[in-house]
Parts: sequence; C-alpha cells; structure tokens
Amino acid sequence: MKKVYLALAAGMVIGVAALTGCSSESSAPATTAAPAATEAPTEAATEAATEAATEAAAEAPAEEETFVFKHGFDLDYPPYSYIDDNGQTGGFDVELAQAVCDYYGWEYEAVPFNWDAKDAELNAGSCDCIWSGFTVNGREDDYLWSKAYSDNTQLIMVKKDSGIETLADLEGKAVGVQTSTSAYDLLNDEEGQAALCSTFGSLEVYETYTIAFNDLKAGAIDAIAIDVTSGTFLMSGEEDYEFLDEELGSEQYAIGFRKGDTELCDKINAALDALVADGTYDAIGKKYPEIYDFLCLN
Amino acid sequence: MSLSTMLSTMAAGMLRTCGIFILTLAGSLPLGMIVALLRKSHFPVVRLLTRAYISVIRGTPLMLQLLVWYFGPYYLFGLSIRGWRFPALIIGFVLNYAAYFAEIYRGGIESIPVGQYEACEVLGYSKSQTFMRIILPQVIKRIMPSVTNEVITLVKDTSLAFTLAYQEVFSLAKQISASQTSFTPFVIAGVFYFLANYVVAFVMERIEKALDYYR
Amino acid sequence: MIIEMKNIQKQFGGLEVLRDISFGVDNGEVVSIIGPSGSGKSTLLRCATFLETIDGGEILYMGEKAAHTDESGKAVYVHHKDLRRFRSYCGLVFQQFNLFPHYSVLKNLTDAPIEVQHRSREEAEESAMELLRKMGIADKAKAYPYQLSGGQQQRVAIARALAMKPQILFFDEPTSALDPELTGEVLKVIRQLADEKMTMVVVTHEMPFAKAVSNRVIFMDGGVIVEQGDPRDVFDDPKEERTKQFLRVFER
Repeated sequence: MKKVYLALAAGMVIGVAALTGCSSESSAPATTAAPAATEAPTEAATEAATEAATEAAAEAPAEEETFVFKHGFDLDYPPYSYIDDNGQTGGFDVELAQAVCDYYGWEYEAVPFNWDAKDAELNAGSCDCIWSGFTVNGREDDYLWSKAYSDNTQLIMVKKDSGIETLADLEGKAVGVQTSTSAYDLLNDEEGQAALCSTFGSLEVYETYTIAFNDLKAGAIDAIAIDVTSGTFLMSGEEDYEFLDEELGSEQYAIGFRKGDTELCDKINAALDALVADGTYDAIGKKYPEIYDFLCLN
Repeated sequence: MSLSTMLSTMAAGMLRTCGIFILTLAGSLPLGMIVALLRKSHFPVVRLLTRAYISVIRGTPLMLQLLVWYFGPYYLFGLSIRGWRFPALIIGFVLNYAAYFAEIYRGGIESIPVGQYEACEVLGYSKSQTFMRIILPQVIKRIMPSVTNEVITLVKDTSLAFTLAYQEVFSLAKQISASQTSFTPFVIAGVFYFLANYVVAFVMERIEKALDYYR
Repeated sequence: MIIEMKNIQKQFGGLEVLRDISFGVDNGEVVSIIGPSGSGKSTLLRCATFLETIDGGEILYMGEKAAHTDESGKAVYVHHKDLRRFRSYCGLVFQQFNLFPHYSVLKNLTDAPIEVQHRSREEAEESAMELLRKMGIADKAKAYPYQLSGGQQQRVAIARALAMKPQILFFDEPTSALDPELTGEVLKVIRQLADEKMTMVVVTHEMPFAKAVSNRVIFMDGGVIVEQGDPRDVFDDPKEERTKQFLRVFER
C-alpha cells in the first residue's frame, strides 16, 4: 500500500513543480521576438525615425500609455514571417512592422497565429492586423487594406530536365500546391486558372510547400504552382529547378486591418512612406534577396 | 540554421510541450475523478449535466474545443482575450482529458465487486474510508493500462496546441521546416516525441510493477 | 438476547422474501439456518447485519432498538451515527470471503480495528496474530489473499470478522464456495468457536455439521420459519412435511 501512496505522492510533486515551473515558461514565446526587434536599421534611418516620431507625437493627442502594436502573422511563411537562422521570430514583415513601431515609439508585440484562424484572431482583437505576406487580390472587400508593399506572381516550378516548358505541357501532369495559398485559390477560381487546372492529370494539395517540394524532388509530382517569392526561397541552394516563363497570375501583398480601423491604417501608411523615404524599407529588403526584386515601394 | 540552433530552439519547444503535458495531467487526473463521482451523484440534474459534458467533449474534436475556449470569451461575452492563449489551451486540454479519464475511472469503479463494499459496510468503514482505503487503490491498479494509453495519446495530442499558435515542438518543427526547406525538424520532433513517450512508458511500467504485489 | 428480530418483512420488487419472521439468539447460542435456496435465509442475515433494510418489523441488539415500524407502517432506523454502534455488535462472514486483495492478511485483520475502532496498532496487531494462530494460519500473516487457498482465505475472513470483537457472528454459507476437501478446515474453526461459546448464526447446507455443532436449528422455506428446535429433533424427527421433504433430499 505504501508503494501506491509513494507513486501518488510522486505524481503530485511533479504536478506542483510543473505548475510553478511552467508559469515562467509560458511567457517565453512572446519574448523570443524581442532580440530581433532591437536589430537597428542604419544610423541615419534611426535618426530620421526619431525626428519623425517626435513630430508625430506632437501632432497626436497625448497618449497615457505606450500603444502596443499587436502584429498578427503566420510563422510558416518564409521569408516574410518565419523562424530565422538563430531560432528567433523574424522575416521581412516582422522587421518592417518593428521599424514602424520604432518610428512611432510603439511597443511591438508579436502575435504568431494559426493561419486558418487569422480572421477569428483579428476580429477578437488578439492582433491589430494581419501582416504576413497577405494577398490583397480576391480579398479586396474583406479587410481595410494598407498600401501594397510587395508584388508577387504565381508561377509553375519544374525540374530543369522535365521537358515541361509551357503551361500547355502541364496537360495530364501531377501538380502540387499548398492549401490556403493564393496559388491554390487561383487554380480553383473560374476567373483565374481553373481552366488550366482542369487540364492537369491531378492537383495535389499539400499542408506545406516543403512537403510538396520533396515530392517534386522524389518525382511524385511533376510541377508545383507557387508564388515566386516562396518558390525562390525553396529553390535557394538547389540547382535543378526552374520556373516556367509564363505567369499564372500576379498579386500584391498589403496589411489587412479590421474595417473601421482607418486611423491605425492611415498611421501605418504614413510610417511606410517615411520608412521608404529614409531608406529603412530598402535596407530591410536587402536582407531578403529572394523577395527584394518584388518590393514595390522603393 | 545550424543543427545546434535547431536542436536548442526545438528543445525549448519540447519544454513547452512538456508544460502542456504535465499541467494537463495535473489538472485532468483529479478532475476526472470528480467528474466520475458526479456522474454517480444523487441529484439527477448533476448526473445529467456531467453526462452531457462527457458526451459533448468526447463527441467533438479537441481542436474545435481549443478554438472555442480561446475565442469563446470574445465572441460570446466581448471580453478581451489578451494573454488568454495559454490558459485557454490548458483549460481545453484539462477538460478534454478529464472527460476521458472520468470514463476510465467509472469503468474501474464499476468493476470492483459489490462484495468489497459490503465487507466495508459490515466492518463499519465510512463511505469516504471505503472509497479511499479499499476501492480507490484497487481501481487505480485496474485502470493503469487504460490510463497509460491515454497518457501516451496526450503526449502526441499536445501538438494540437498549434491550433492556438502555441509554439510547442510540433508547431516549431513545421515553422522551422518551412524556413529551412528541410525535413530535419520533423525528424527531430519525432525523436523528441518518442523519447518523451519512452519515459512515460517507463514511468507507467514502474507504477504498474509497484502495484503488482497483489492480484 | 444478543439479537431479536420481530415480524420482519422484506420485499424485492413486489416479491415477498421475508414474511413476518421473528427470531432471537441468546448469548453463547449457536443457531443453524437451513432451507432450500430462495427461502430467504441469506436475506435474513443481510437484514440482521444491516446490509439490507427491512420493510417492516423490529430489530433489537442487546435489547436496544435499531429499527422499528412507525404508525404509518414504515420501518424506521436509528440515526446513522447510532447505526454504526449497532453494526459493531455483529460480524458477517461471506460466502465469497470478500477479503481486501490489496492488503496483506495481517492488514486485512487490523485495518478496520485501527481505522474504524481507533484501536492502537500494537494492540490490533497483537490480537490479529492471536486470531491467526487460532485459525492455524499465523505463518500467512504477510501473504496476500491471492496466495492463499480458498479454505485459508475463508479462515482469514473469519478472523477479520472476529478482530472487530463482535457480540455475534453471522455466517452466510461459509463453505459453499469451497472445494469439498477444503470445507473441513473451515468447519473445524467454526466448531472451535462454538466450543468457546461464541454466539453464532450459520446459514449452511452442511447438515451433519449443523446437527453436531448447533444448539438450535431453524428450517426456513418461502420466507417463513417452518420449523425450529433442537437439532436432534428437527433432523431425526421433523414435524412438518416440508422439513421432511427437504431433509430427504440430503439423505441420499
């Protein structure tokens, strides 16, 4: 009998230890973003930002507390928002959002969310915006949009020696795409590329492009429909893959706000202008060569 | 990303996974017993409510329940859900597992022969003495295999925390896999899960062994 | 009288199991209850030990009322706190032993004395060992029930009941679950207790044993006491036709 009590007691001790130990653990994900936030842009940019911030502060009604800007994004979307090589939250969108916060003297709060729950998160107010390589096209009326800060096109990625050279060659082939992406939407849109899609032998829908890419490598599929930035990111360091020249479609990325949040949207637009003017936007962009060519504000 | 960075980042995620795991067990093992006892309550209303609770919890996906616990306060009552992510996650897991444990306990309690209760009654044990000293120890021994199953399932179920974007090891594996265009994070996650379950199986086996002194 | 049961009535879902049964047991008396299955013997025992509640009648222990019938004809028991005291007057040995499998033999004997009667561990263990010696199983004190034979288990169960120092001990077919070759060792123990003037009521199918050991035999059938008296009279010269019929079956 003693043994039973011993076992029970041990269980309880572990439980209590966990209760006390894990309360400190739970705050960890929020703080992981902090080191990336401190990565300062160029000195000049900072100076300009501070100047602009003082101006803005003078104009704005005196705020009692520092505004906390809650940046909602998906960590699955490199290189816009992802886990960087140091294991920290990073990406072009994250850095740009942090620069906006620095510009206004706001506190930055990273709110990584599950992409499928993005609307619920935004509406419930756990984040202030969806800013995560977020495609405007097809969603024009669903959100209040900032100005577009990046272009993107949807392309077909194939193996170099596959013999597929035009969209027409895809007839009867197996094509992969990631679920909930604009490439996926495009292939299912009657006004988009649904007609082309119907010529495919099959359309394989993946949870992530990483898995799709592995299937392409393994020969399980013949091509991947993907936006150019994600595709370039996937192909970096790989020799044997290329895009077809023909585009499937093009799109723009912007920041989505709750309808009615015009004040915040205007402020972000103004900050983007300032960050473009002082070179911060370009400087951040240069850190992400895969997407630099598609940035549309510089 | 170097392998050591990947390992340490994912180890941090594994700690969070363990956090969910331990908090869920610490909450649901005792709560399940309370639910099991409420299910046998003298008040029909209490019985009905606990049965409804068990059937709703077991009849809907855990993923959906997590979403309801997290977003519910806002959509139902307009409350701010800042800082609610982790508590909602734990509440969701605890209430879900408590329902399953409650049914395991109920089965265990009902499997104890009525003669044990009668022997206690004749010997003058009170109801709580009967339960704590005679019934519960035997129930624990009988339910250990089912509990072990649930606990091992829980280790893997913790990955559902990705629904609320809690960065436990599997969410991290997905994210790092995307940013590194590599499967290695999934392999690492698999090894972590396997090791965790190895420890769980070892501990449960020790407990079962400790209870092996009688039949 | 240790126990007196008057006009006991008990129904199970409309089926009358005990119809107006009255009987009492004097100090030091050994009473055997015999009768066909379904005659209400076990139910009578379970009512006497408070495992079942009576529908009507009176139960008295040491002249004190534990249950009686009020004006409306409903059976009323004393408050459950007092009922615990009445319970402590009686012990019951089950057909299926009902030992606690997770306790050692010794702990089976000492747990209730320590936890229920708040006796000291030393005293409880000492008297438990004494009882085990009497039952001839002192060497099994540290064993667990599953390691014992059926006969040994039943002797532990008897010792467990005696450890509570009851005024009266009831046996509900104590040998029915045992292989024939094991009944002897249990009956021997009961006989030994009878010699020590332990007050006992034994429901049994062991007719020679009932005849040899008891001071009085009660034959029950259909929820009533058909015949009772000195064992020699009942067994050798039954008055009632039903008793004769029943005993004839056993004489084959």
